[in-house]
This record gives sequence, structure tokens and C-alpha cells, in this order.
Amino acid sequence: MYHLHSYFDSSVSVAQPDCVYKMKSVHADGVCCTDQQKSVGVLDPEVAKLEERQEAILKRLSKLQEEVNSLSKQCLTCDSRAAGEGVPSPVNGLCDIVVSASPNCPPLSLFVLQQLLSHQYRVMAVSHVHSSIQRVGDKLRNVFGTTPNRDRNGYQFVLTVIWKDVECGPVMMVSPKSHSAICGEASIARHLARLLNPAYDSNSVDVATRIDTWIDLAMTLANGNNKEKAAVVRNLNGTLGKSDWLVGGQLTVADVMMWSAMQQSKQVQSATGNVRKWLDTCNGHAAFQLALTLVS
Amino acid sequence: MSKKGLKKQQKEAEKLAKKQQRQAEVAEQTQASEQEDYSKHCYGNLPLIQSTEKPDRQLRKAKDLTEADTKVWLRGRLHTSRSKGKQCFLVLRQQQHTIQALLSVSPTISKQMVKFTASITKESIIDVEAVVSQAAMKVESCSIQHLELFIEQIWVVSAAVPRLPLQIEDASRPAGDDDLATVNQDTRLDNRVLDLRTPANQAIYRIEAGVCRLFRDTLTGKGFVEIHTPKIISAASEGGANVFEVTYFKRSAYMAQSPQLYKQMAICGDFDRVFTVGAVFRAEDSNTHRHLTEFVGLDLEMTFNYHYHEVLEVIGDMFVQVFKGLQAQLASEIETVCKQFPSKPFRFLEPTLILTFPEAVSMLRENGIEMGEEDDLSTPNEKFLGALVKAKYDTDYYILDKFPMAVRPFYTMADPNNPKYSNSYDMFMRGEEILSGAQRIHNPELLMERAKHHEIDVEKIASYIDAFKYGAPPHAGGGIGLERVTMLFLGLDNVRKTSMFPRDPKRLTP
Repeated sequence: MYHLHSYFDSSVSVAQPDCVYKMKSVHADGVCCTDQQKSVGVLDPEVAKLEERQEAILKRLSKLQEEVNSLSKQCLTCDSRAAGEGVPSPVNGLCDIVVSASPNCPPLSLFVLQQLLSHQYRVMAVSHVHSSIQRVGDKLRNVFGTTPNRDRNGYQFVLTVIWKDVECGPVMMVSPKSHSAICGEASIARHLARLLNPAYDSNSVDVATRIDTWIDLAMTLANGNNKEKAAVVRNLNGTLGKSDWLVGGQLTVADVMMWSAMQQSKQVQSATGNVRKWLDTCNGHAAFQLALTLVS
Repeated sequence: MSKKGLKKQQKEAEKLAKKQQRQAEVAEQTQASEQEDYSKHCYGNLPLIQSTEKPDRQLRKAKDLTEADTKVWLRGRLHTSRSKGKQCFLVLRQQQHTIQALLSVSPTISKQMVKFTASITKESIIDVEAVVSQAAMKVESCSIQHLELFIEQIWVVSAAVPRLPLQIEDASRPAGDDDLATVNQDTRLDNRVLDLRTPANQAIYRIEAGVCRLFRDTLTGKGFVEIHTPKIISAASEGGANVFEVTYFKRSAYMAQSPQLYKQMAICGDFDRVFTVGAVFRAEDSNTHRHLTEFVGLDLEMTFNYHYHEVLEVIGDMFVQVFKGLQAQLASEIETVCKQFPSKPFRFLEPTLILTFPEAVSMLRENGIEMGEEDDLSTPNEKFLGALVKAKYDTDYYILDKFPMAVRPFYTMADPNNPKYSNSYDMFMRGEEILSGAQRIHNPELLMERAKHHEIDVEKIASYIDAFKYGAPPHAGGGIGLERVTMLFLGLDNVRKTSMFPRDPKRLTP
């Protein structure tokens, strides 16, 4: 009906703004800062500082890398030494390992490991009763037999067991200068395991880790509540279904620790199935005989 | 007479009259007070007890009193007394025990009696008749804390002089206790009679007696025979430098440094196992905390069948039995000593720990001490080794076996497997040496060879060597000092504390 003429000129091009805020350039670029002569002095040091920081970080990175490289080289050379520093070794002649334990809960794994150790080295074992204890049964007092004094010089290791009033589990002391007392049956077992097998740490890490896990589970079995104990026993049952021993198809310190924990937590009577079979295998093994005499 | 003279006379007469009056008054007063002393028969100084009479009276011990007792007679020392007007508090002491006693003015007890009691000098021996009653509050300052005595009669048996050279309370105080006075060692030793009355000393000498008794009993139980050896001998037994010389009629003789020779002669005389307890004289000019010129030696010697370790085990076990016996039977005495001289309780292992000399050397070297394989252990090294052994094995007592041949006397038997070492041993308590022993050479030819090696004049020891010519068994032994063992067991710092009347280069009295 109506035709309206356009009342605006659409051919005019409008400049769209493409920059909301315009900032001064932070680069000390002569081209960009020609009209900001005053602020040149302030900007340059900031940039310099940033660069410095970047350099410092790069330097630290390279130093760290060097350290890691050197450490990894050190670890590889550990093999050449018997078992690393701090761990008892018969390098300087006779080495005396002193373990103080309470007669109320004798560390059974110690006696199994001592038997295993004596197959590889010349080991002399003696036991003493400390003056802090009034009465100790003859079984414990004469655990290593009543043969008289032997000449210490003929042996590489001496294992001295002292029946004493200790609060927190057995304590091991080899060299008071290089380490503080090592507490706990598990830690002692770990030390002795490295003596038995000097290549413990450098060989299969997988095996070492699995043994460690089993040792920890053994401690749970010994000290945990009923639910935790039951869980460990179930775990045991499952693993022992697939092989005779816990780790690697042969007797390791994991089996020794677990056996000791089972004896101490009185789970032996209620053991069934694979666990029962495994316990019987252990009890039949020569190295366990001495420890069996201490099981009351 | 002049007026002045008259006045003078008058004044003098007045003075005289006044004086007489005053004297009469005083006399009246004393008479009056004497009249008031209604308990004159209950106190006083007893005449010297010259065994004039045998009264039917039982004197009780304070430690045996119970609430069941009513009236008892006691004899003890006046430990302390404190008077406050109408009352007097006493502490009566009998050896280690003290008990509180009270005296207060009452219809039966006069003021004069309380005054007399307050004036009795400390340490006097007094006889007291008292009523035993339960203490209202625990008496903290006495050893008997639940009982008190109410005195009815008090008599002085033997008075002490008022000024004592030292106070028992001061001598019983632990050192370093605030700013209160203590008595130093020289004063104590000079006035030993008073010093011995302190509870700690009463306990120490009972423990020392216990050591001697347990030594005797344990060895007798193992089949040993006690012998007594001469102390005046013709020749120095172990090196001539440290003997006391005495004039023996027209020649000189020596005081025995050790019963070594005679022990061995008894063994060769078929006594198999012997021990002896007697004085030992060492003329060493050492003024240390652990040397005396005269001390009591407990020595033993024993034959063995095949190996000297048989003897080592016997000696080790003897010590263990002595320590166990002391801890079981004299526990309260040990506690009393600890109150004045605190120390850690003595710890040991059974059977005794035996380490070898090479092990000890490597232990010391590991910890930074430099020493050769055949060097003797110096005193600081011994102490350090003791600390290391304590840290590792938690024992204050151990034996060190197989000492190097070079540092032992000429009669020590060498190790058959290694001639650099010998069949000899030392024993240590709290890091200090208490016993030095060895397997002795029982062959006269070998003995002469060793004596020549050590450059000893064979003529001087001719009688010693003769003893082995008529069939001598293999034997070993050792000797300890009673005072040193007691000192180290209790953890005391000076051997003069365990010697009742010590002798050292500077002290010859009391």
C-alpha cells in the first residue's frame, strides 16, 4: 500500500571497534616506547629480573638432573658392597648382633632366620638373661643349648639374644655409633633378610616389594583387631591356593614373618585349607625346628 | 669520826643490807622453785655405768615398735632437739632409724625437766621411758613415720661435748642441695667416728659386708676352701717398685702386694680350689679416686681340667650371684645410699658377657680411638669401652678375654693358637677394671724362660719356681678389691667412701 523510501544511507561503512582497552607495550621495544621515554628506566630492570629468574630456574633444574644421575649411579654401585652401610656385615671381622627381647613374647622369626643364616655363614648364637628380669624359664634361657663357652674368634657373626624387660617389642643393636636402636620384629627380620641375601635390594624390586607387603600384613595379623586378622587370613588363603610359598615360589622372609605372627596371635588352631597346608610345610622345614620348641 | 666518814659508813651499811636482802630473795626463789620440781626422780645424768647393777629392764629397738606397745624403754642417740617454752620435741636415733619424741609440761612433768631435756647435747646417748602412740600426722622428717613417743623418764648415759666438729644432719645431706651445708671428704675422714653414724654410711658398710659374705658363701658352695696367707714376705711378688719395706729383726721384709704366690702354692699343695680374704699393701704414690695403699683383697685360684674358660665361668657366675644376692637381700640399704649418692641401678647379664680383646680394639677403632692391636687399654679407653658396651648390651659388668701377651706379667700362659695373645682376662664394672687374672704357667722351665724374657732376676723368685717342680696342675684365678667392687656397684665416686678408715699416700690416721 505504502512504499517507504529508506531514510538512512546504508552504504556508509561504520568502523567496528576491535580493541576494548589499549595497553602500553611492556617490551622495551624502542619502536613501541618512543613516546614513553620516562618509563623506559622502570621497565628494563623488570625484564632483566624476569630473565634472571628464568636463568636461575634453568640452572637449578640442570643441577637436580645431575644429582639424580649421580644418585642412580650410586645405587648401582651398592651391589659391590655386601649389604650397604648401617646393615651388619662381617667386613671388619666378627660382627655381633644384639637383640633384646621380652620373654613374654619371644620373636620367633629371629630363631628361624638364625637357623637359615647359619647355613650361609659361621654363626655363633648365645643367650643371656638381663638383671631387670627375675625369672626366665629354662626353655628360653637355654634356647641355644647349654654347650659351654666357645671361642668367638672362629665365627663371622655372633647373635646375642638378651631376655630383658623391653616395652615395645624386640630391639636390635649392632653398632651404637652408626644407628639408634632398631625396634620391632619386622624391622629386625628385614635386616637379617638382607644379610641372608646381599642382593636383596638390587635384584627384582617386585619381589622385594611383595615381601615387604607380606611383612606388613604379618604385623597387622599380630597387632590388629579381629576383623583385620580375619582379612589377612583370607588374603593368605587366597595367595597360598596358587603356590606353596607366599612370594616367588620359595621360602622367603615373608613366610617366616607370617608364620611367626600366626603363632604369636594364636591363629594356628583355627587355620584351615591352604593356610593349614602351608603351616604344616613350615613346621616340617628344618629351619623352623628351633623356633617350634619355643611355641608353648 | 668526820661527817664524811659517817656518811660513807652509812652507805656501805645500806649496800650490805640491800645485798643481803637480795641474796635472801634469790635463795627464797630457788628454794621455792626447787620445791616445785615434782619430777626430780624422772630425769638426770646417770652415774657412769660401771656394771654396778643388773636392772630388770628391756631396752627396745625403735624399728620393732608397734601400736600394740604401751610403755617402753629405749636407748638411743639424741639426734635433734627443739624446745618451745613448755614443750620439747626430740628426735631419737638408733643406727638407721629415727623416731620423734615429745616432752611437755604436765602434772607429772615439771618445767625443770623440760629445761634439762632441752639442754642435753646432741649425739649424747640417752635412756628414755616413753608411751608409744600413733602419730596424728605422718612424721615426714623421721624414718619411723607412724609412731610417736611421749617421754616420761629421760636419763643421760653418756654425754657428748657441746661443740661437735661436724653435724650429722649436714653429713647426711646430698651434695649440691640448695645452699644448705654439707661436709667435705677430708673433714669426714678426719672425724670418721661421727661420719660413720650417717644413714648412708651405715648402709654402705652393711652392703660391703654383704659383698664379702656372698663372696665367701658362693665360693664355699662351689667347693672352695678359705685359706689365709702371710702378709710379711721376704721378696716382692710383683715387681719391686711398689712394696712397703719393714724392718724384720736384723733384716728387712716386705708387706705383701698380693697373695698370688701363696694361692698357687696352696693349689700345688692339692687344695684344688682356694680363696682368701685379707689385706693387700701397695706402695703406689697414686692419688686417684680409686687407689688406696691398703685395701681388702678377695682372691681366688682354681685348678681346671682342660680349658681356662672353666675358671672364667666360675668367676663370672660368682659375681652374678653376689650382685643378685645384694639386690635381693640389701635392697633397702641400696636405696638409702641412693638417697644421698644418687646413681643408676646396677645392670648385668647372666651368664656374664665375655668379649675378646680384638673385638674391643675394633669397637674402639670404629668410634675413633686409635690404638695398636697389642696396646694396653688406658683408663680413659677403658671407660669409653665400658660406655660402648653399655650402649650395645645394656650391662655394667663384662669380661674381656685374650689380652695381648706384651702387657701381662711373666707368669701368664700364652694363647696356643696365637702367641701374640695370652690366656688372660680383665673384668670391668661401670667401665673400671676390678679384676685382672689369667691362666698361670705351671711348668718351671717355661716359667724361668718367661722370667728371663721379662728381665727378672731368677734367683729372687727361686722359691716361687720351686713350687711347680713337684707336679703342678693347670690353674687360673684372679683377685678383686672389696672396696672398689662396692664403690662401683653403688656407683659412688670415690673409693674412700667404701673404706672405713682409708689409707692413701697422704692419710695415715685415724
